[in-house]
Amino acid sequence: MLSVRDLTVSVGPATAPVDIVAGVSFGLAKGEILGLVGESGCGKSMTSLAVMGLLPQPGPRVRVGEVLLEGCDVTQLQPWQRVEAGHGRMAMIFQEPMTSLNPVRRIGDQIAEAVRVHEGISGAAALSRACELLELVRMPDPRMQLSAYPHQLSGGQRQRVMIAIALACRPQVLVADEPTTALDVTIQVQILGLLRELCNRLDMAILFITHDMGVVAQLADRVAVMYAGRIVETAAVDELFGKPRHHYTRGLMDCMPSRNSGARRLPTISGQPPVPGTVAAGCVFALRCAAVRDVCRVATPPRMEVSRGHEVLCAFPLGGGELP
Amino acid sequence: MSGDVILDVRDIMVSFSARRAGRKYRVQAVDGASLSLAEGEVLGIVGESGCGKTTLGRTIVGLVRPDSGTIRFNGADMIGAGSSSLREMRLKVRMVFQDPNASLNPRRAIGDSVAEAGDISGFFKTRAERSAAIAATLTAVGLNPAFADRYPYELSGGQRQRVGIARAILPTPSIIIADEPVSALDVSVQAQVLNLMMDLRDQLRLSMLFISHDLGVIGQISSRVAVMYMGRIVEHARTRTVLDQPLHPYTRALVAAIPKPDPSKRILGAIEMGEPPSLFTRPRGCAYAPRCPLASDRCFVEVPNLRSAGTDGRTIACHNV
Amino acid sequence: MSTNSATLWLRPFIARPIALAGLGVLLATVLAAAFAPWLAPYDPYAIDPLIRLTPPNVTHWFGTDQFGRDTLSRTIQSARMALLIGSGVVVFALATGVPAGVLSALFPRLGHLLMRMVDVLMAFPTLLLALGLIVILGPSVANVILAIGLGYMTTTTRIVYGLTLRLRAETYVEASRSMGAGTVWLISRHILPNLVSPLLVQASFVFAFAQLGAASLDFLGLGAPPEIPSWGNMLAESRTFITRAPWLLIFPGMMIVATAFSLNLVGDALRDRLDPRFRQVFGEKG
Repeated sequence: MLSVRDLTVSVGPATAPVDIVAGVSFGLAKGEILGLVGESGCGKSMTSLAVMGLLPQPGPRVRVGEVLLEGCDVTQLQPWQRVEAGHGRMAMIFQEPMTSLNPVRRIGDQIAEAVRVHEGISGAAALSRACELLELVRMPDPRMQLSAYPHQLSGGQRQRVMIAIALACRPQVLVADEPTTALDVTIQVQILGLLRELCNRLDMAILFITHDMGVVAQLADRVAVMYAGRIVETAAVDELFGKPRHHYTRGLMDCMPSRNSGARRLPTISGQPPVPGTVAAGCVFALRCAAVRDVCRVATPPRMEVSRGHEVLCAFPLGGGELP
Repeated sequence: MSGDVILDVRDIMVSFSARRAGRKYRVQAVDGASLSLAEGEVLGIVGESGCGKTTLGRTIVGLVRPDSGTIRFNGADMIGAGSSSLREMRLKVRMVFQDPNASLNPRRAIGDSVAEAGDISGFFKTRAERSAAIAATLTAVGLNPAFADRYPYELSGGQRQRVGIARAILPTPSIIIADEPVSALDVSVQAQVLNLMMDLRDQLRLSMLFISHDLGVIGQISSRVAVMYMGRIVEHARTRTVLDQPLHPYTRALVAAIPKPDPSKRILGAIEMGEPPSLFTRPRGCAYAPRCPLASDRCFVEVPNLRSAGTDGRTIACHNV
Repeated sequence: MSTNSATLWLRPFIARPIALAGLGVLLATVLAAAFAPWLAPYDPYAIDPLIRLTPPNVTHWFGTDQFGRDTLSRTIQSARMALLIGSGVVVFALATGVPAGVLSALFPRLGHLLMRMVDVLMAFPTLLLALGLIVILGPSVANVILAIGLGYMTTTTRIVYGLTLRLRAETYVEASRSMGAGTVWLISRHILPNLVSPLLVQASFVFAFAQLGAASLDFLGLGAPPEIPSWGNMLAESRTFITRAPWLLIFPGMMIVATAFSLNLVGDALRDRLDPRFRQVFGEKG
């Protein structure tokens, strides 16, 4: 349903652009949750903003590539054109729900406003739709909460309100950028459960952006691991966690304390991610890779399909599988 | 476990006054917490945001004055101490903060930040001694000694947190209170910093109070763990025991909610555990009762006290377990 | 300061030519004040009744006034008074406002008292406050500085108070406190160094408003003694000739506008320098 092809987001002058997202491609089917995982600065948030057409102006821009929503490229459309063309059916939720809500308006009005914009109904009808949406996100006591102000809600409830607002446009695709990072684990598990349930009930696709491998394992159907602006590995979630093929993916999993219980020291990935624009040639992970070979430093690694639906950007993936 | 008790915290009560909807409230941030730390031991404190774990740590380093309770360092009272002996104790009990971006003064060179405790106390006799100590400390935390002349904005997040740790170990303390020291870091950097802290614990024989919301991290570094909920310690035991057989219903929920990096062990949908009550509306009995699946009538009227449960020093505050 | 930070300070000026122009005007004013006796073509005090009220011409570029004094020379000479009043006001406002603001923020009880006094002073318009003080104290250069400076001491105190309250809650200040740092240490190592840049901006605006305030007082005859050339005095003396000899008002008036405007431009550019977004190259978070 959503197809991103060769998406490249750049900053800096047009004559010497620096790519912070470099040639990212992925697809998203109905009712599917794709986890886009990576460390800070890897370009995952930029990817999500580019997909939504929400890149800050002035600033980064889509230099190459297309974002096809049901076959129509939306990168060239302005936000209002997207709505008019009937392609506005994407919505986004963010990490910090408090800053996305107006503190001096009742949440019922804020949800109703989103309903009004998208469905052209107003007044009591919009408010009752708002109430339905709150029920949909399993807000306890939705009718009462319509008249609450954001500060009267807990962090988890605020995130539920944000999801309700996002659902007001009946989205086909929901982009969720670290929506549970600011929440406690006991609340996080409930919000993740809610997203899974909504995905199934509404047949909605979710692009879930996170830095947390644990969250991805719990929620996603498929996973794309991002590093230095590139997707370095894509696979179904069981496959990725069972048989990671990229050295970076493997490293990320190994250094999680909860996977490592008992060991004296944690395995680490040495060094830090490269600053965008400083990798001239070769593999972006070469500087930190434990299995680096000379050719990695000069030649861009191929994108290989090591098994059905499992792609890896590495010349020498874990567990063999060299180019045929 | 080893050694004598080096830090003994008894019945700490901390409250703040807060204003909400025009009315004045007293918010009880820490509600009678007690713990002790042996030499060379790492005690983890885990709990959700607002449970009082950070306030407890800040109380121990003297940033917050408790309403009541005692804090003893090597047997000496830290709250009522005179200024000169207190200054000495401040050098022995140090803190590492969560946000490496906020905890370094952007206008001070790294070396000055690292040497700050020594400068405050007149620890260094000569300039040469001072710069040698800075270089040695930076090396000890895995940084290039040349960083002494750089400024925080030139460093990455992980490097800044190493500076934050360096600042806490010069001159060498006995205890480090680490408040979420790796929470703001990426997972690959997090592992590096955790390893560093474990190395320093062994090399310098440091005792640590390791405050975190992440049981995975706590499980890696600490031998015992105290679970806090709404200002009180509800379970206290060896880390492995808590992780493998949590007893208190809150600890059980906390352990169950860790997102395991294993898609074959999915927990979503299996857990419905409500949300913590606001500190303004503290329930009368057990603070966890409104969320607790085991709650009985007694739980809503009577606050459960910590009592020992089972072997190896486990204590738990629950009527029904 | 290293070359690195020097370029950081210059960049907002280079990025905005109009701010660079402002900086240029200010530099020119400072040079004019410093070398006034050499730059001025005539003695600014020399009276020549034969050439009263001559319009601008080749020998007297800016014309002459009702006593036949050379307007250009007097305009140049006046830069001295302008800079003296401006820097005097800035020094006074900072020397009183910074300690008052910092101590108010660190000692809440003292702060309560001081900030209420500041509130009372701020209830009066700055110029009215200055006028009242001059009437009581009598006109003199020192009193002009005091009268205008008092008005800007209040705003400086407010700004410093707010900034210090925020700095006091910074984690690095807490870290320092947790290591046993005393008040003097906190102020000298953490608070003052972080106040320098915002105060630089504040100083440039105070300087600009002091120009306008001093000119107004001069015009009303309550500022610098009339025998000393200043732009405000020049305006005051020649206002009766506004239709016959407009050049007497145009040139000093232009200088007042130019310096005040330039200072505002420079202040804006400095404020941009302080905006963290300006320093960010890659704005990416995720």
